[in-house]
Amino acid sequence: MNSTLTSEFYSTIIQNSHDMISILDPSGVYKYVSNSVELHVGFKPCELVGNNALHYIHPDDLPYILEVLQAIPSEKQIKVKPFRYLHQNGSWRWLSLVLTNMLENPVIQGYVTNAHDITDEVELDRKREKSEAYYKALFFNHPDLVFTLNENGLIDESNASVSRISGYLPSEAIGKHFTHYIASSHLQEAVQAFRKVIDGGAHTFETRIINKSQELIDLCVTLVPVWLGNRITAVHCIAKDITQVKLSERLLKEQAAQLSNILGSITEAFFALNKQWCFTYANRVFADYFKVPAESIINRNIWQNSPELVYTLFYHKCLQVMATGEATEFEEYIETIEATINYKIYPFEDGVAVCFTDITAKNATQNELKKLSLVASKTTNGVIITDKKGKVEWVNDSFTKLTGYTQEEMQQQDPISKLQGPDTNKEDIINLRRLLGLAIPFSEELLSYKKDGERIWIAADITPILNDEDKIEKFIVIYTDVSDRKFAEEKLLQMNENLVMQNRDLQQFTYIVSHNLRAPVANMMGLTRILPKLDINSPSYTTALLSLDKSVLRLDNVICDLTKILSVKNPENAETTETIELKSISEEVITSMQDTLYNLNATVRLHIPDDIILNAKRAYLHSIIHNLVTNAIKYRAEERTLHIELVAEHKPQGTTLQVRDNGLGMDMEVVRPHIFKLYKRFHVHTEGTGLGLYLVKSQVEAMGGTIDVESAKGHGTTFRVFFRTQQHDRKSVYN
Amino acid sequence: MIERAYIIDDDEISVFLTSTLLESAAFARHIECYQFAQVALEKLQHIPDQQLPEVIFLDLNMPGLTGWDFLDSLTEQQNRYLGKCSIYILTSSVDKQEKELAQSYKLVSGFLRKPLDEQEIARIKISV
Repeated sequence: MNSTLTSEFYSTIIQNSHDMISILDPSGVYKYVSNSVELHVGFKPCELVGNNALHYIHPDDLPYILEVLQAIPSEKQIKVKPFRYLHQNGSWRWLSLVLTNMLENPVIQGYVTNAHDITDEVELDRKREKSEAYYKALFFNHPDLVFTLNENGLIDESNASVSRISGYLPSEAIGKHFTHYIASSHLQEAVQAFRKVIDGGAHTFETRIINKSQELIDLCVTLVPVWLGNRITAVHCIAKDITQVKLSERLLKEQAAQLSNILGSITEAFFALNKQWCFTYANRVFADYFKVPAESIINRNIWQNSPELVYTLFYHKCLQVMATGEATEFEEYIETIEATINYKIYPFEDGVAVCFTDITAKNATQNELKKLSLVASKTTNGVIITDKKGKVEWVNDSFTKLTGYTQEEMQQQDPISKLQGPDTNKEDIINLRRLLGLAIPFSEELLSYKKDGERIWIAADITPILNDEDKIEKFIVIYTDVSDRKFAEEKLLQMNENLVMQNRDLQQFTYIVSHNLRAPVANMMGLTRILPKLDINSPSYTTALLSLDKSVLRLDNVICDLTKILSVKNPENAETTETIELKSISEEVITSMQDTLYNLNATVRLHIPDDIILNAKRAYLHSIIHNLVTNAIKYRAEERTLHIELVAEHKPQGTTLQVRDNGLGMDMEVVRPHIFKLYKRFHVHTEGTGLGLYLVKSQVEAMGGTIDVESAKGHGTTFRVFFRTQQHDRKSVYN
Repeated sequence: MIERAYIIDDDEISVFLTSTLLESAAFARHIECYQFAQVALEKLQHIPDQQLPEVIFLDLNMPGLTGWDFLDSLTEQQNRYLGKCSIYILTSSVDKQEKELAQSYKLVSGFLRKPLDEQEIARIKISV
């Protein structure tokens, strides 16, 4: 046995123990208090003994302690939860206490308390709890994304915002490596940022993650290293969702770029001045025009930069726009740059904006155009400008003078169709259109018609205007009136034709002289020679004498015929034309031949409308009808009663008069080439002189008409005379 | 005196003149006058060779078949007439061209201008 384990030994241990030991009676009154109590609560043991321990308990803890006291009689030992005990200085100390029931112990006969002061621990605990609450509040309820990575980059913790923004619940995210969520475009940067924080530097960077819905989210992340001892054990991350901010930033950037592009792409020079007259913007065209970089003038005062401008209209206009807030446009010649400038000045909130264009070249072109236009409009030639399809866009005054058509009447018209008329050669027009398609300049002469119907000969010089692709864009047509020349040419042709005709007449004349005039003369010569040799009483003498008489008569007839023909052929003696009713003159002729017709029992029927009026020479018309009726009488068929019809018909181009008979008729194959020749006769037994039809033809032609004949041997003959409607501009060569 | 002569001429006075002169000159035993060349032509084509006239006086300017047409028709069978018929053109024309044209016909022996006179008739009488 250990001899040291005496009551003295125990008493010493207790007295010097750091624990506070006391003994309470069942009512809670101190029976014993160890010395160490004073050390912890300030009371001396003697001050406590005899007092109830409940007096020193914090009122808040008292109910619990009372419970413990009620419970202890039936318990061996109770470990009492920490409670507050009054210190001698009035403060409260936290005590941890074990209450042991030793009522049965004869030596103790009470409750043994064994307490020690745990105030420091409790307060430390309290502090820790508070700090933890703070941390939790900061961590979990932070509106930003807050999460912690361990030193390897695995996610340790994440708050509600992380779930809200990323869509991943903490249970899904924790344990995953952060790179899992970074957009590939930002991966490298994010890894570097993590490495940097591990190397000990808290810092902030921007990155992009992909959320659960696969959307890209921009984050601004602050990384803070967590030091434990000498090493970093974790990284705190606080991230802000800056997607909207980034989007706005991008939009702003784009808009700014767009605006800059727009301003830059304006083909006019453009610059803006603020209210202090400093450049705030100048586009590329401006820079190019003045050959200065746009940046170099930004923020410079325009009037200081170019003092000479102060004397210009531009200066005054700028002041005016700034003052009135009304836009303006004007042109000014700027001496220093020797250019004419068109300015547009617009006011805006911060100042004025100016657009300007150098129109020196444009003005020069315009001036040239003006001059050209003057030439085109004032030239005596007609000028037409058409589009590529040949439709008129413009005609000059001379064209209007030349044709009578105004610009308005010609607008969008095809000048070829507009100006052509009945006598325009259709082949000329086809040729003209073909040439138009070839895109080469050419000249054509064309018979055209004025608005009033007058004919003019036009020489058209046509020049196609081609574009860069050699496609026709316009035609320029220059019209010259060549009527005088053309009509002179026509007249010359007509004269030539007349000469040929006259030449033919001359040949006919020779023929007359050599045959018809000489025949009776030859007979007379022969007869006068034989007469003296004939017996005056013989029948031959009588015959010769009669023949002589007949020959003289025939000679006279021929001479009369010739005189008539000569009078028709000689325009000097031409009567003037008059208006004659065809019906009345026909009746006149028939009446004059009434006796002959009556004797022959012949019938004449007229089919001539009352209203046919010819502009003709009365004597000729009379002679024509007379000769044709005479012809019908001469060449009647003896076996049938002569029937003559005069039929007239009027058409716009002229009047036709037909004289039909049922007489002998002629074989047209034989007759046609000779019928209207002088002294050609086709009937052997009649008294024809061969002059009649030639005379008719001469007279018809002298009035601008034509004559032809249809006949069938044994059936009859129809002569058809055509009188062309008189045209005012068609003049006889003789006049 | 020759046996037979034809006068072909539409001009009655001229026929009268020519026939009177030929008769008084005792030119031929038979003088036949034709106002239409067509009739004379048909006759010539139908008579036997021995009845052909030794001389034909032919006018050129006639209605219907002209002197030229007549010449053309005979020329088609000119071997029958050559040496047997002498054709003399008798015309009032003074046209040189007609004379030259007439002389191009082999059958034409002479070109006479109206009126025919006695010296001319005598010359023809000798040549026939």
